[in-house]
Amino acid sequence: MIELLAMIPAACGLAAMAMPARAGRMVMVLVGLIHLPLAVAAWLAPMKPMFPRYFAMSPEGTVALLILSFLFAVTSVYSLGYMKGTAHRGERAFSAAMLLFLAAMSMVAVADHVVVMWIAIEASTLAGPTLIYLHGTRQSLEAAWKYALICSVGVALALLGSFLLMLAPVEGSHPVFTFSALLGAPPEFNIFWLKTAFVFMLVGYGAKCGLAPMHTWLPDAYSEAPSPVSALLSGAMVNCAFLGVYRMSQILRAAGEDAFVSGALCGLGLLSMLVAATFAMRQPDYKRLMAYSSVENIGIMTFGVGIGGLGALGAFIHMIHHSLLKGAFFLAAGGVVKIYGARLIEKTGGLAHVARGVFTVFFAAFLGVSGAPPFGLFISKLLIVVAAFSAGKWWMAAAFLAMAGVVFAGMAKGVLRMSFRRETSAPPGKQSAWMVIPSLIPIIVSLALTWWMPQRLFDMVAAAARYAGGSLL
Amino acid sequence: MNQPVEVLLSLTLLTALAALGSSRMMGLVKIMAYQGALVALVALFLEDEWTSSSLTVNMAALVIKGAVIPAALYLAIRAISIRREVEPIIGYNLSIFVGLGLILFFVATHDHTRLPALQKFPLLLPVGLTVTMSGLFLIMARAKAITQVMGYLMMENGIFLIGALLMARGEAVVEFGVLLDVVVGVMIMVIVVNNIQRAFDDIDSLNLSSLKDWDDD
Repeated sequence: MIELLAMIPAACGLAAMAMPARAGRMVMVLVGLIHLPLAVAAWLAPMKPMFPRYFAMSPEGTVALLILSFLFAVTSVYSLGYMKGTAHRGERAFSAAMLLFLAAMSMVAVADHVVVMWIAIEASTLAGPTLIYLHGTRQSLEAAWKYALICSVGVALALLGSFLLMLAPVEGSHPVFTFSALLGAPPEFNIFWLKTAFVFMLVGYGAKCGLAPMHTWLPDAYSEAPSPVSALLSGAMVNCAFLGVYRMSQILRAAGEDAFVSGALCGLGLLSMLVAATFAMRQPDYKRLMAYSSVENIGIMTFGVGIGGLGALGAFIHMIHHSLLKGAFFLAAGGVVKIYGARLIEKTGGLAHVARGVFTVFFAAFLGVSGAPPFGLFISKLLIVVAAFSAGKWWMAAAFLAMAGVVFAGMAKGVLRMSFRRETSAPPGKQSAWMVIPSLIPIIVSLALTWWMPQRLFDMVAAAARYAGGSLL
Repeated sequence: MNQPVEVLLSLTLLTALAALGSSRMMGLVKIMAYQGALVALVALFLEDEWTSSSLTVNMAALVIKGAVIPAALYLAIRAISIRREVEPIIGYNLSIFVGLGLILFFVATHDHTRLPALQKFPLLLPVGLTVTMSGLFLIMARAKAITQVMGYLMMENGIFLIGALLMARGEAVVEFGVLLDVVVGVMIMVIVVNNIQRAFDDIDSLNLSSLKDWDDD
């Protein structure tokens, strides 16, 4: 019955198109609150799929599903407050698109068939433009266009990769269409085509993740999209696209192409961190700054999977905490936008004095996202660096640390100015409860998981990392 | 069943070259309609045997690729009544040469890199890859947003060719899902293009450059 995770939001999303705005809003929140217990149930008491040819629960899919479901519940409640007093092009379309977005991403998490996974990832691309263009400004239109075109073209290349993957087994072997079968009983592959398929999938799904150099749509989309949407894009959608890259890398590793996969993933991961470090240094717009931090973090996850073993474990822990903290960061930034009415760091200041609640969340999320000690990203980065050192990749580990440091410095420069610079005139907006409470919850959950992760959750994360080469501990 | 496939594939290749050399929007839409129909027909002839489900999906592909999507593009171009020229960033002659180069490259490398599953149809892979990459080239080499949508469509057509044999071995539901994604994707892009036209009075994607990291100073 795991298909219900996608079918319920899809049906409600289609229904919401025909409902009055208010009813649609309620349906969105309701589905968000139902989806979370359903996802937890699917994890704790593994449900059977109705169509086992296309769908199956996998540990890595479950990790992405739980994150997605939790973040959506928080975001849907937050957007109740956010949408009040926001100029927008129609709330009905917003609620419907949010639900369809949730449906598509849930489908990615439970997909097992290679092409069904592609269908779901492309569907999640298609829900995006409506959400990004919510405010109806020219800039948001430009961002929506770039997102639609670059992601669709990228994802189309991933479809080519998917087809090549299924065509790659040498003649005589039984055709295999699902990831679980490709991993469980791998056919004999024509290595040239297997590698080609991997490259297309990496470029295609990598574009959707925001891996450099295919990241160009990302800062525009994250900064122009309304904050709840940015939170979902950066906290949930990225993980779903990353699943595509990760699954494909598993297949290559199973076929014995460890060095090739490791080189490609480490290279793209470090390049993404380099791009983020370059653009974070003098970034005048704080939402763009946060977007580049996402490019950095997806780079870290990719690098971790590339290193393998302990690094892959670190990558999945990184995925959990990054999603929670970055989601909270964007939600808090939505409050900052409302208070100052601007997205330029220059036009803000004194957040710590003006709005203590928003400041607390914003600053905590900033510390967390940059990997400062009490937060989970510190531990995951540490795991990845240790794995890189013990794999003997000294210069890579050094570059990793240097670039993470530069991004931290760039972020700190902006966030400190926003928080503590004395502002003479009072900002136009005021703080309200909806800006603080929903965005505080993911931070608390992330902190709790850092210091006490239930054994079952840890086992699942370790299982998710199991195929990524090397050995755990 | 081999011969009709080869003929259809050769015609498909011609449409790709024609698209690269086309200077009129309406002409390009027509070429895309032919290409869509040809690609769907190739898929039909690749089927081992015609069952009701495979025929349904192939007919759906024919209608969607040959009629529905081109009609949507046609209406969009008429509605925004733009200048009818394609506005190349890279000229038509050079574009055609790029197309020829792609054909040459994929045919020449094909001998060394045979896909075992496609042995029976030697033209399928080089044609599919050429059409895909020509589409990608069209996206980069043309300024108008609507032309870029057509480039995307051409990419999908090429990929559809490569996947057609796979899809012919069952999995009608999956093939239908892919088609649905493509048609919805093109529709959404057309809607965005319409909005761009309304907001900027032009659909030149070179106008879309206000978002950047910092103003050049």
